[in-house]
Amino acid sequence: MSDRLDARIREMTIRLIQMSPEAPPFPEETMVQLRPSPVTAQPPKRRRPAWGLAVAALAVIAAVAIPAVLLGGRNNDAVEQTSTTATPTTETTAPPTTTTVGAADPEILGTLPPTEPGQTVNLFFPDERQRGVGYSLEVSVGEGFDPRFWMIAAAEGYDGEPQTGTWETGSDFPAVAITGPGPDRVLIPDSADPGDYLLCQRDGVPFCWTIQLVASTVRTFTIDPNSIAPTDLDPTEVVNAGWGNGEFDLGLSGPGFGPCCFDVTSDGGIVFLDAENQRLMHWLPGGGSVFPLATFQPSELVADAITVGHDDRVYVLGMSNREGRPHDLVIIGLDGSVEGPYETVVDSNADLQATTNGIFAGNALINETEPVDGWIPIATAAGIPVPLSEQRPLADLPEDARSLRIDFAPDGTIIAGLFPGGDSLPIQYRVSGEYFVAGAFLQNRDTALVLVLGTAWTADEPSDFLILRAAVEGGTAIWDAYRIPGQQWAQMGAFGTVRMEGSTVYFMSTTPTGTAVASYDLP
Amino acid sequence: MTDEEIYRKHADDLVRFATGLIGPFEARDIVTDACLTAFRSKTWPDVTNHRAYLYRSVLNQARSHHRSTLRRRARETRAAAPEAQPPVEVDVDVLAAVNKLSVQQRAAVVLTYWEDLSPTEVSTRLGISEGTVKRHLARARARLKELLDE
Repeated sequence: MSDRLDARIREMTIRLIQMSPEAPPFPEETMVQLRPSPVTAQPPKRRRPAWGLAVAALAVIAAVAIPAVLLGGRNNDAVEQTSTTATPTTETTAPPTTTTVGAADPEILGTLPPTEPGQTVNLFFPDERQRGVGYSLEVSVGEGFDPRFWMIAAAEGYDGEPQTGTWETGSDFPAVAITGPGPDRVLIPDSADPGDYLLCQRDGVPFCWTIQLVASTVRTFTIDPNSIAPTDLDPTEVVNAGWGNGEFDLGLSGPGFGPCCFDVTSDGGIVFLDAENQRLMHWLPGGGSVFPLATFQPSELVADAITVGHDDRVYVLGMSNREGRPHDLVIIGLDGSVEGPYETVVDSNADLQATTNGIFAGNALINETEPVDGWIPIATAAGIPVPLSEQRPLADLPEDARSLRIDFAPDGTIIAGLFPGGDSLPIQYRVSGEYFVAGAFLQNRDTALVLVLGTAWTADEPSDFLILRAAVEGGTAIWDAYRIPGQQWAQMGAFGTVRMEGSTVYFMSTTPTGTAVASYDLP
Repeated sequence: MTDEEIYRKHADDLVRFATGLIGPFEARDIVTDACLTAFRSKTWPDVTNHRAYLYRSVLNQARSHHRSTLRRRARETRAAAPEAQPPVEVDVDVLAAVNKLSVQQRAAVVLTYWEDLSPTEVSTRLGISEGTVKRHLARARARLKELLDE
């Protein structure tokens, strides 16, 4: 980059900062704590524990299991992601070694067995101490440890209503109090390097376990997209709507205020959330007929995410008018029937994903190089709203389900972890290079992870999108690559602008005259 | 040092940083929310580098609010009476440029070009790897180059 460009960016930055308002007064709002203050303080940078000492204050039982949870995506044949798998879990009745709980390192409680990245650590609490779901994985650096990953545990024994602000990493989802013996299940990130770590409870009683991460035995397949010649796909126009509030229109009041999101019904119809006009519009297959399904009153609900469930009903998430403005769920049938609103714990914009295990609300930042780390169930597979008290990140799911997790290595490599049910080994697909992930889907149960790579912004974007499909056959990864033209989106981010139904990928794009959806059939 | 003293020491810088992340309209709210979150944290009493911790909190808060802000602002503008706020002079061109970037990219740009921090220092301030900082910065510059060359 040139010095001239640097100078112009610097000038732009200065002009931006010069717009700053005055600082607000000190926020003297009453501090609310979810739980009593911890007994012992947690040092900001931990000292290396006294390895090998053999007295434990708590009987900590650690176990390792193959992963649980994460992302959702649409699946074609009733089996899909977002789940815990059934790979054998090993547990021991006592940790191999423990360390003294004493004045020197009061928070160190025990040692966990060697663990691989991508596996889940089960933490047990025999005395049922109250705690939170926030954990950090801290890497050994010199004489101390520095936080490297932040994680949310899946757990039972929830105690108390969710509140926000008790976990310092800015999670999108509320912290909750837990009691009970556990296990609390913490997924070790795929991108963690081998080495010595501390796994620390960060949202409640401050204690840690020492843990050694070893090299992963997960089957890993790496691809450089530049090594594959992509096949160009031709679009099929599905929807072509104008701007406005008419019958065939979708609203747009300016950049960033476009038609939010869409999803596809089982017969190929398209449901739009027209965010500007706060209405739900159903384009029948073929695009020739449009029906309004619902209109939302801003005084009651401001819809900002939708998905079409496997029951072909539309699940709408929107900001309520209740105190604190958490989000409510409304379920709308294609016949116009309305259920809800139902309260949810979601407190900011979130993507919605329909899976065979139910409807999940997830991290809206998936397309901004963030790991997907907080999907929570808000409706069952039968379309029944999940009670507020059971809406927790990474909840237990059937063992025959599958999970898909998107992560990013420090060098930008995309890590797509696929965790099949049964005894199958997890599979890790790595895509080298630096790409934005616009969508990740499982095409069906047996094969085909589909990654949609690329990004589009409010201005013309010349770069094309790349669709990568990967499957393992006979121990070898088979990669297919497809190229589709660059898309222009009214939205700032990409979530809700790409969907997949069966073997067809649907893209929403915006043009100077309106909104379009095009479909691309993967061979 | 009390929380209020810490706040008074860093508030102006935090608001400037927040302005760089999400613009001038929401900067005050973001800083207030981020500081409240930090002060409530169980680990706050043990934090030694308050400045870095609060910067990280502001970044997290901005990321959480990034997507919801646009729609909320549009809706609330329609639904609510305007509140009395100090006038802020807005440079539309600059805001349009910033809107091209993700929150993380904006953080890298602001800390690099406003505070003159090196990638290593930015990574320390934000608690992310140096490689990630360089990646965000490279992408931000590539996007801004296209815009600024227009």
